[in-house]
Amino acid sequence: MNTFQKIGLTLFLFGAASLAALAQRTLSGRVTDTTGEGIPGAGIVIKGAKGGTVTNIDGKWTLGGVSTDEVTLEVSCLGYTSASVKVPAGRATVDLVLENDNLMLEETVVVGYGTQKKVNLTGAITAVKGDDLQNRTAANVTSMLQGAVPGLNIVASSAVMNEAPDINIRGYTSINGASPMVLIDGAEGDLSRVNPNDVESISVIKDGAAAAVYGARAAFGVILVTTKSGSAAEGKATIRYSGRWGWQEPTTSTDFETRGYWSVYTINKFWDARYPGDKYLKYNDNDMNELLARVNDVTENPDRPWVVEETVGGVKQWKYYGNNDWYHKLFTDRNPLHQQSLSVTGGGKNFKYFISGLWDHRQGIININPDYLDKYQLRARFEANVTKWMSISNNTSYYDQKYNYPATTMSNVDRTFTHLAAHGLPIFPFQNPDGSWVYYSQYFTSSYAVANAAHIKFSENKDRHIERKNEFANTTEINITPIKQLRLTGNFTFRKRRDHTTARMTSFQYKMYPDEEPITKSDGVGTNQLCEKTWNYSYMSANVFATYEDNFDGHHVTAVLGGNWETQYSQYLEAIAYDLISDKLNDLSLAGTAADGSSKQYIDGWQSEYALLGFFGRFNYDYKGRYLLEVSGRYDGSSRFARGHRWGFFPSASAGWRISEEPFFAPAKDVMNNLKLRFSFSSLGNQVVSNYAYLRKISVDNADYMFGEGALARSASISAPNAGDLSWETVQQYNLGLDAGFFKDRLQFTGEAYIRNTLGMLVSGEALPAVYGASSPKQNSANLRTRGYELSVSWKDQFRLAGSPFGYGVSFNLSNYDSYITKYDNNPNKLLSDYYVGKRLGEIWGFKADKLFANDIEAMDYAEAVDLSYVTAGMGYGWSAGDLKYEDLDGDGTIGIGANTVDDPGDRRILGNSLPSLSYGATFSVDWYGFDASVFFQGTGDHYWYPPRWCFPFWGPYSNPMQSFMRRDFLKDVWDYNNTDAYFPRARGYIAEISGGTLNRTNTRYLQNCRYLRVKNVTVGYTIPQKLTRKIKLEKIRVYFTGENLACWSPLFDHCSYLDPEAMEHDDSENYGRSFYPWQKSFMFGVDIQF
Amino acid sequence: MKKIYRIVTLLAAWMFLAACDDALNKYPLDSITEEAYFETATQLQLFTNSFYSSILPDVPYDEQSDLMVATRLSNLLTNSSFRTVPASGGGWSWTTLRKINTCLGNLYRCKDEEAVKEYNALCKFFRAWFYFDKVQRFGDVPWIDHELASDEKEALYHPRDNRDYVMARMIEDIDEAIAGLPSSYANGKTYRATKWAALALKARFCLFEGTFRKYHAGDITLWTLPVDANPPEYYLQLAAEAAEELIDLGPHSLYSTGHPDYDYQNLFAQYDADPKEYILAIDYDYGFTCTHDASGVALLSVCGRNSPTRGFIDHYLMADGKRYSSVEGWSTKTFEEQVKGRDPRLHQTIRIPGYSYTKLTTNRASFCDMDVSLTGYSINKFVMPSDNMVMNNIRSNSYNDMPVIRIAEVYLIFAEAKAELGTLKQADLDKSVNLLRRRAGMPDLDMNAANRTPDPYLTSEATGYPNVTGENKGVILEIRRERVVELAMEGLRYADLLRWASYGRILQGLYGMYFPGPGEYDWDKDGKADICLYTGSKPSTDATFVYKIGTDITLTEGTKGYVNPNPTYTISLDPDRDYLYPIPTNERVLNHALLQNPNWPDGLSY
Repeated sequence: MNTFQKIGLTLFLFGAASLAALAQRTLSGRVTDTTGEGIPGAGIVIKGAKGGTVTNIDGKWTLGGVSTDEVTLEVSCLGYTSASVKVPAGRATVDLVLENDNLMLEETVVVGYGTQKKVNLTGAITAVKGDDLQNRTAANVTSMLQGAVPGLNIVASSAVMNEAPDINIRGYTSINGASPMVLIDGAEGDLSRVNPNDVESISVIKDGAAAAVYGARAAFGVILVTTKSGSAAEGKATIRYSGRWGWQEPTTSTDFETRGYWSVYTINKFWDARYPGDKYLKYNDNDMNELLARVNDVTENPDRPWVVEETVGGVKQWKYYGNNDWYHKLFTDRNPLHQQSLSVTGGGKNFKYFISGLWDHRQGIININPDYLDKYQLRARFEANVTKWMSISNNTSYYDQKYNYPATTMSNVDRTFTHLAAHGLPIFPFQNPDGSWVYYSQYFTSSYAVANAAHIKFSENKDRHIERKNEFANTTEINITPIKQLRLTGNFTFRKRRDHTTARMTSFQYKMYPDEEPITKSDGVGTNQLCEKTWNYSYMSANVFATYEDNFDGHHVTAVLGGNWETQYSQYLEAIAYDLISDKLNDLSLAGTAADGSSKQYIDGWQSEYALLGFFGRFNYDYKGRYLLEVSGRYDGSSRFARGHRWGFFPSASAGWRISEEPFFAPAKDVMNNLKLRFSFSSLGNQVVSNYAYLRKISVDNADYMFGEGALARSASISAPNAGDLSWETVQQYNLGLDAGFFKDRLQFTGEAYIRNTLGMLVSGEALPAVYGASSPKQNSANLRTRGYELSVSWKDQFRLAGSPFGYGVSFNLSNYDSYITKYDNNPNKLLSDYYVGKRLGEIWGFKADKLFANDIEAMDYAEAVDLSYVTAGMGYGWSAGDLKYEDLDGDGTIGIGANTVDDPGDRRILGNSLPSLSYGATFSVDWYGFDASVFFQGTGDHYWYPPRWCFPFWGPYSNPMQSFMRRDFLKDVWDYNNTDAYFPRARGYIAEISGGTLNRTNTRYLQNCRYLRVKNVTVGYTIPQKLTRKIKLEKIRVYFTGENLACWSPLFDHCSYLDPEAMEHDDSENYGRSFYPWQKSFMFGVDIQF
Repeated sequence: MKKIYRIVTLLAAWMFLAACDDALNKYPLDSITEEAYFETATQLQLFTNSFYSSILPDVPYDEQSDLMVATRLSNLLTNSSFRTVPASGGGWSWTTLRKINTCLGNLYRCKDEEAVKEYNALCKFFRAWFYFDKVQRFGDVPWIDHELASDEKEALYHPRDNRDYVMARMIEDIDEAIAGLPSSYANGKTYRATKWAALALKARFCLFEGTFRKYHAGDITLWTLPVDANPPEYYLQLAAEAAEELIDLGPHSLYSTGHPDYDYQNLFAQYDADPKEYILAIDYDYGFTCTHDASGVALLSVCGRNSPTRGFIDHYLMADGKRYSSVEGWSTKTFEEQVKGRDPRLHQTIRIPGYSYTKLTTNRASFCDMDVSLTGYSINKFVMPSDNMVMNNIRSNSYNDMPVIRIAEVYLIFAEAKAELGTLKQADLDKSVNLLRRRAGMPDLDMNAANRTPDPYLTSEATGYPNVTGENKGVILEIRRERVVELAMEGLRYADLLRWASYGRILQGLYGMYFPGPGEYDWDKDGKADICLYTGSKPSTDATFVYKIGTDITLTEGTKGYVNPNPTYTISLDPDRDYLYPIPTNERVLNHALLQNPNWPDGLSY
C-alpha cells in the first residue's frame, strides 16, 4: 500500500462517518493530471457529507449516495494541489484535472535505520529518485550519479567495461583514502551492482551527523539505496519491458600515424637525439626511399609491395615497407551494445511483490574476436503482513557479470593495452608473406617484440580471459509493532560474492627470416599456462533496532536504539597449470608433466576476516515542525585494532530551524514557502587499516630462486614494522545548511557549507632514514582539514502550450572543496617529497619554463651561464635551439630543487592543483505532447595535470619513440628550424620518460588544464498517446534516443585530442599512459513498454 | 534483594561486553604472526632463503668494464649526465639488512640449537656480504647490527662509520659464519652457503680492502680513517690466510677431465653446477622459468650486445707461455692472426675461426657477426653447446647454473694477497695459479722470470697498470692477467679496477678488432670471405657480413684502425670522484650527519 492510498483511505473513512443518506445520486468521473494521465489513489469527498472514495489505477472513481442538491466535491492527492469543485444538481459525471504540487511537503527521505520527512531533515542529505536514472546508458548506477549530486564525486579509474568508478563524498577524505559506505536496502553492498531499474531512491548522506548511526565506516558519508517494492494497486500487476540498442565510440581521437615512412623517420629522429648516430630501426637510406615511395599508399599497391624479400649477410630477410593502421586493425571505433530488462510489480493490501531482471550486453573495442561483457541481474522482493502487528519481507538479488576478452598478459585487459603500446609499427604487417606471424624483428636495436604479440593473440583467439563477478544477496526483515508508537525491526543479510577470473596464454610460432623454420615462443608472452583465480567473500550482517515515535502538544519525538553486527570472511584461491596439453581446452587438469613426473602446477591463496560490532542510538525532536533537533551516537568496535584500542564512541548532534513556519514569516510565505537553517556537528571513527594491521605477519611464498631441489624455493617475508597502538582515525565534521523554496517550491535552493577535520590519520609516523630498512611504521599522527560548499538550484514549472501542458525544468548544482594538512609532525623541514603542515592537497610544484630557445647561441650561452644538469638527462647533443628554457627563478645560477623544502624549493613554484576545483552538473528538461527531452551537462573547473612520463598519447616519441600508436603528423607539433612556433621542443626521444629529462620535470609550458564541460547525456523520447496504445492493450509505449558523453570541451584538447580529460582525474596516472582502453560515448535507441 | 539484582545486572553487563570484545578477536588465517615464528629449523630456512636472491649477484656475464662493452655503456664507464646525485635510491637501500637483523634478533627462539647455530652463521655470512657491497659502493657506511626501532634516533641519525670499523665488524661476522656454517649439505650440492663459501667471501673482501687501501693510499680524500686503522697488510694477510685454509682444508678443486681444449668451456656449460669447483652457485631451471640471458647475450643482436674488447684479448698469453706483446706487430694484427696460437682458454671464451662453435646452430653463431658484437669479438663462455637452436635463439632461455664463487678465484686471491704482501713463494704459485695454468694446458707461471721482466703491455701507461711497483711488480701483473683470463665475464672485473685504482684501463679506450682497411677478410680460410668492409657504394661480394665503414661500423682512423664500439660516448671518468658513489640527497636532508662523498656536489650546504 503506498502513501497515496493510505491517505486516500484515511480520507475515505473520515468521510464515511458523515455520510448523509437522504436523496441520493451516483457521481462518477476521472481525475487526471495535466498531461491527461489518470491519477490513482486520489481521495474524493463531498464537502460536509460523510463518505468518499478513492480513484482507481486509471484515475476513475464512482461515488454513490450523493445528495441530489448542489454539492462541493473535494479532491486531494499527495503530490497534487487539492481542488474543490461545485457539482450542480443533476450532473452525474465530473472530470477533474489536478495540478502538480511542487511542495511535496510530505516527501520522505530514507535515512539511517528509518525514514524522515524531508522538511524535518537537519543533516545534509540529497536524494535521487530512481526515475532520474531511467534514461542513462552508463554501465552502472555509480557512473549515472556523476554530476547528479553536489559533493558526490565519481571518478572512473578506467574505461574498461567491467570496471566500476570510485566514489567519494566531499572531496579529499584521508591520506589513506576512504570511500563512503554504501548500503543497499540496509546491508553493505556495491553500488555498481544495482540494477538501475530497481532503484526507488538513493539518499546521499554527506554530513557526519546524519551518518552517525552507521559509526565507524560512515565518516566519509553514506549512500543508501532503496530498491523498489511491490505496489498495492489491488489485483493489477504492472509489467514493464524496456529494451535499448545502440553503439559506442571512443571519445578520443584514434587517428594515428599509419605511414611507415613518417613512423620510421620520426622514431629514428627522436632516437638519434638520445643516442647520437644510432638508429632505433635499422633502416638505411635505401629503405627510407622505399618507404617514401609508398607513403601515400593507403592500401598495398601491387607494384610496390609492402614486404620485400632481400638477402643480407648471406641470410634471406624480409624488408617491411608497410603503411599498416595497427589501431584500426586491432580495434574498432564502433562497438554495439544492447540492454533488455523486464519487471513485474503488483500485490495487494497484505502482500506486495516486485521482480525484475536485466540483461546487458556490450561489445568492446577489440576488432578481431571482440571482447564483450554480459551482465545478468535479478531481484525478487516481497512483503507480507503476517498479522496485524507483524510484517515480514524478503529481498533477494543475484548478479552475474562476465567480461570475456583476448589478452597478451595474464593480467587484466588494461595491462594488455599497456603491453601492446610499443613496436606495433606501421611498417609491419601482422603476417609475413608466407603467412607466418611477425613477432621479433632484426630491425630493432634489441629483442623487442612487435606489439607484444597482440595481433597474434587477438587473431588466434586462444588466449581469452574471462572475468566473472557473481553475487547473491538475501535480506530478511521482520517488523513488529506491539503498540502504535513502537516498531521493532530485526533483519539479517547474507551475501556471497565470488569473483572468478580465468586467464589463458598459449604458445605461438613466428618467423624472423624467410628461410628459417617457424620459431615457437613458449616463454614470456608465449608461456603456455592457465590461471584460475577465485575470490570468495562471505558477508553477514544483523541489525536489531527499535523505533519509537510519538506526538503530544506539538512536540514530536522519534527515538531509535539498536545494535549492528557484521562480519566478512574473504578467501582467495589461485591455481596455475603450465604446459597444458591442449590449446583449446582450458582446464587445470590438462597441466603438462615436469621432468620429475609431477604435474606442472602452482597454487596459492590467502584468507582474512574481520568483524564489527556497534550500538547506536538516535533521538529526534521537533516542536511544531519549527525547531528540529537530532542527537545520535554510536559505540563501535572493530577487529582491526588490538584489544584495548578497538572501541570508540562517536557522537553527533544537529539542529534545524524552519523559519518559514514561524508566525512572523507568514506574510512572506506566498513568495518564499520554505526557509530552513540547519547546523550539525559530528565526530566519527574511520577504520581504514587493513584487517590485521596491528600485527606483524610472516607469510610464505614462492621465491624466484632454486636450491637444486627440483622446485622453486619457498621463502618467508615479514610485513612492515608497525605501531601496536594503532587506533581509529577520527573525523569531525561541521555542516551548515540552508534550504529555501519559492513560489510553491517551483524554485528550490539548497546550500551547504562544511568543514571536516580528519584527525589522527594513519601515516608513516616519521620520515626515517633509509638505514631503518623499512617504510616508517604507521601511526595516528596527521590531521587534514577539508572545507567545501555545495549549492543546488532548480526551477520546475508547467504551463499549457497549444492545448497541451508544457513542462520544463532546469537544475544546476556545483560543489567545491579544498584540503590542507593541518598536522604532520614528522616532516619538520617541510620536505616537498612528503606531506607537510600547510600543504594543500593536490598542489603541483614545478618550474617556470615557457619559451623554447630561439637559436643555438642563446641556448649555449644560457647553458653556460646556468647549470642545467637537473633537467638535462638524455640530451644526446648539447643544448641548442628549440630546447625548453628553464627559468632560474631563485637566481642561484642553477636549475634545481634547492633543499626540496617549502622554504627552499629551488626554482619551483606551485603551478596549480591537481584536484578539480569545481564539480558541477546541469540538467535541462522539457516535456510536451508526449515528447520529452533532456540534456545533462557535467564538468569540472580548473584541474591541472602534468602528463606523466609514460603518457604516450600526450608526449608521443618524447616519451618512448617506438610506440605503436603515434599521433598522426606529430612532427607538425615538433620544433624545427622551419617550425619554430611548435608546441613541443626539438625532437629528443625519452626526455619525457627518463628521470631528469627536460620534459620529465614539471614545468609551466606543458602543464595541462583538464577542466571540461561535457554533454553527459541527451535524451529525446516520445510517448505514444494512451488512446492508441490502449487499443493494443498496452498501458504505455515510449520510444527514445539517449546518448552518453556526446560532446566535450576542454583546454586539454588544444594540445592533445587523444586523451579524455576525465581520465586525468584518477590519481593512478602511470597506468593509463602508454595506451589505454578509450573512454566511450554511446548512442542508443530504446523502447519502454508497460502492460 | 535489590543489591543482588544490581550485582547480577552489572555482572551480566560485564559479561556481555566481554563477549562483544571476544567477538572482535580475529587473527590472521594465512600467515604466522612474528611472535609465533622463528621456532623451527624450517621456519628459519624459509626466512633466510630470500637472502640468497637479494644478495648474490646473479647475472655476472653481462657486466661492463674495460674488458667488455655493450650497446649502451653503463654509467660505470662514462662520466656523463647519467652519473648524478640521486634524490633517493642509488644503492642506498637497507631493506635486506633489516631482514637479516630481524632474523638474527629472533632466531634464538628456535628450540633446535643446531639450527640456531647454522642460521645465525648464515645471517652473519649475508650481513658481511651486504656490507661488502655497501663499502665497495660508498666507502664509509653506518654499521647497523640489529633491527632498528623507529625511535632509535641515535642509530638512525648516526654518521657513517669509517670503513675500517665496518671491516672489523664484517670480519667478526664472517668468522662467526665460518665457524657456524656446515661444511657441506646432505644433497652434496653447492647452492647453499657452506663454511667454505664463507672463507672464500672473507678472502675476497679482505683482498678487496687490502688492495683498495694500498692503491688508493694517496687518495686521502676518499676516506677519513682513524690513526689506529689497520694497515692494508692486515687485510692482505687475512685474505691470504682465509684462502690458504680453504685451499688446504677445503673439499674444492678444479674441474678437469684432462682435456685442456674444452674443460674450461665445459665447466660453465653444464646444466648443474660442478660441486667440486663451484663453492657457491645459483641454480637455474628452465622448467621453473629460472633462467638467464647468457646465450642471448652471446648470440643475439638484441640482448645488449655485450662484447669483449681488444684489451681483453691482448691479456691472453701465447699458448707456449710467451707474451703476446712480444709478438711482432701485435697491436695491429687482424682477428685471425691475433687469436691464433693463444692460451686455449681464449677459444673457450670467445668464438674464433677453426674451433667448434658450430653446435651453436643459430644464424648468429658466426665468429665475426658485428650485428651481435660491437667489437667483432663474440662470446662463447656460459653458452650451452646446445643443439637446440630455438633455445639459444631466444633471450632468457639459458639455464646452466651460474658460479658465484669458485675455487679458481680463491687460488687467485691467495696468490695476489701473498704477492702484494711480499710473502709469495714459487710453491704458493704452484698450489694456486699454476693449477689453473695446467688445466688450460699452459706452462707454469715462474715467479722469478715474471719479476725479472714485467710485461710491458701490463706496465705501460697506454695499456696497463702503471701504478704497480715494487719487487713483485712482475708477478702481481701476471696474477692480474690470470684473473682476466680465468675469471672472464664472472662479474668481478669492475671491483678489480676499483681496488687497483685502475680506471686508467677504461680511459685508455675501449676498442674492438683491428682492420687495416676496406676489403674482404676470409678468416676461416674456406675460400669465402667472412666479412667485407667497404666505403662508398656496396661492392659485389659473397661475404657473409658486409659493413659500410663509417655507417655500419666506425674505425678509429677513418678507413682503418680499431673498431670503435661506442663512437657516440665520451668516456671521462673522474678518478677524484668516481671511485665512490654519491649518497642520495633525501637521505642527507634527513640526516645531516651523513656527509657526502668527495666531489659529488648535491647542492646541500652540510
